[in-house]
Amino acid sequence: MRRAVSFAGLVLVALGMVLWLTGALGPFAEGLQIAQRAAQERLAGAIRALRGGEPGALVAFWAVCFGYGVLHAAGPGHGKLVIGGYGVARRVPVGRLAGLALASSLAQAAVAVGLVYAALAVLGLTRTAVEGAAERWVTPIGHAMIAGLGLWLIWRGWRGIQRAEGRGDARDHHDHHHQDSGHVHGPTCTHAHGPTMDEVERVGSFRDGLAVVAGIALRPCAGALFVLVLTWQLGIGLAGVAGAFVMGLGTSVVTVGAALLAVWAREGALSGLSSGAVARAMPAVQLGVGAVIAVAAVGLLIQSL
Amino acid sequence: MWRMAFLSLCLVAGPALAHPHVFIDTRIEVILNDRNEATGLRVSWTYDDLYSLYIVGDMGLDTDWDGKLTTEEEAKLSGFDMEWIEGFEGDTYPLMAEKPLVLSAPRDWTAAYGEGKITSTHVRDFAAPVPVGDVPLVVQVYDPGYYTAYSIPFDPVVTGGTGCLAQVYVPDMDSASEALQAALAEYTPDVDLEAEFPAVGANFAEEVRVTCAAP
Repeated sequence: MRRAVSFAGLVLVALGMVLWLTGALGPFAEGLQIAQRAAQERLAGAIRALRGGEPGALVAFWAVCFGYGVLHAAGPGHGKLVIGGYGVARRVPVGRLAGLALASSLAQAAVAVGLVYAALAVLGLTRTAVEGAAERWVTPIGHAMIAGLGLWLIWRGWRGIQRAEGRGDARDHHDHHHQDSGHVHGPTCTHAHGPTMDEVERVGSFRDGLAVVAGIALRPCAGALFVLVLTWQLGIGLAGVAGAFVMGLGTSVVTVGAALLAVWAREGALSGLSSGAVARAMPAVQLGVGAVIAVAAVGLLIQSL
Repeated sequence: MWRMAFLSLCLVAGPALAHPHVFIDTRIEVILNDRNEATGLRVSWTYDDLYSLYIVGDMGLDTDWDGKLTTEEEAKLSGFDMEWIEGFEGDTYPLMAEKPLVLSAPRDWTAAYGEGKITSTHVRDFAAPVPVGDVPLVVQVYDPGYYTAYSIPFDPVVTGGTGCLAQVYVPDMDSASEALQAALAEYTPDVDLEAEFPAVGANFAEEVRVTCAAP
């Protein structure tokens, strides 16, 4: 029974991929775009109502922000690729992956807030300068982070395959200790020379997590920028900042969903395998997913430069 | 060859991850001379409510929020979207028999604000007059990066010429995806996919087709 349920996740994701690749989701995408546009118009209306001081306008504004976040995340986006891909490639626990998804959505809002307020309020720059900074600096760095995560997964998958083939075993081992012990040193360093496998995993996960969150967060949503700039000009900046975070919460509904699906599909795929086969399969999966993420991120990077 | 294949894969994957943040309703006016040659295009862009509000608010216009601009304010607004950075093609792509045509930089721009929306217009000239007959002159509107979603809900306008007709064509999403897949399947090293790619992306774009009866 448990295996059947796990397996259903894999089938669901595979079916979704096939529908998407064959263009069968075209009508869905069209409908989504109409909904996104409608949300955009409602957002404008909500800001007008807010400016007019209509009762209940603030709650209505936040509700529209939330819906805007959900709708914008429901379409194609880098966040789902990163969270979903990472969730498939690494055996991260579902809770941690969902936490990462939530953290990245909120961090994305924080980046937008930081960008707008640093530029407008502190530096006294114009809207065009904010857009320019987002496009020319922040977004490309985010794309580079995602590409880095992809390459990191490829590298780890490659090393895993080599290890499984039993070549270069000893050297690998040595390198690992060498690399990772360098990263254990921090403010909380307890002089754990020669880390255990657990510690290596933890450091790896922390580093991965950072790359996942930063890669997603450093592509501030244009909608959030619009809202932040507008509310700042209207003198209702705080409502706008809260709105940006509410938008992030809306986005996280979808990315957390992607996280759950990714884990479900991954465990479904692995449930049919013996533990030895899993150990052999995971590096290959890592390599493949890493390649997909790297290719997409390089594409985004080229465009954003 | 592998570098090319990789690059083209990236270029396909990039836009697939994008979704639009600005929505523009376009009106295309085709200007023809009396020999039924197209000489230029007048392009009109109506921005969505949020982006319009964003621009008007940022420029400090319509401070009383009555949704109307004074003549001076409109003059100030005019040209806000006409400072094109290098490489920006105005998201307007005319084709004749599948060959891209060259357009001039924009001129004679205007901007107006009504019902909470900004509408701007500008004129662009063809590098050389384009004779139009049975084979349609195609004008596609799209943003290759898909940051802006263009649609053509307004009837196109034909100015000048005799017996000319302009119609809007909406893409068939299914055949557009098929075309994309066919283009990828047919990929061979001697095809410059980078140059070919915009045409694939354009399969998803709405377009205006102009034909003229023989004079």
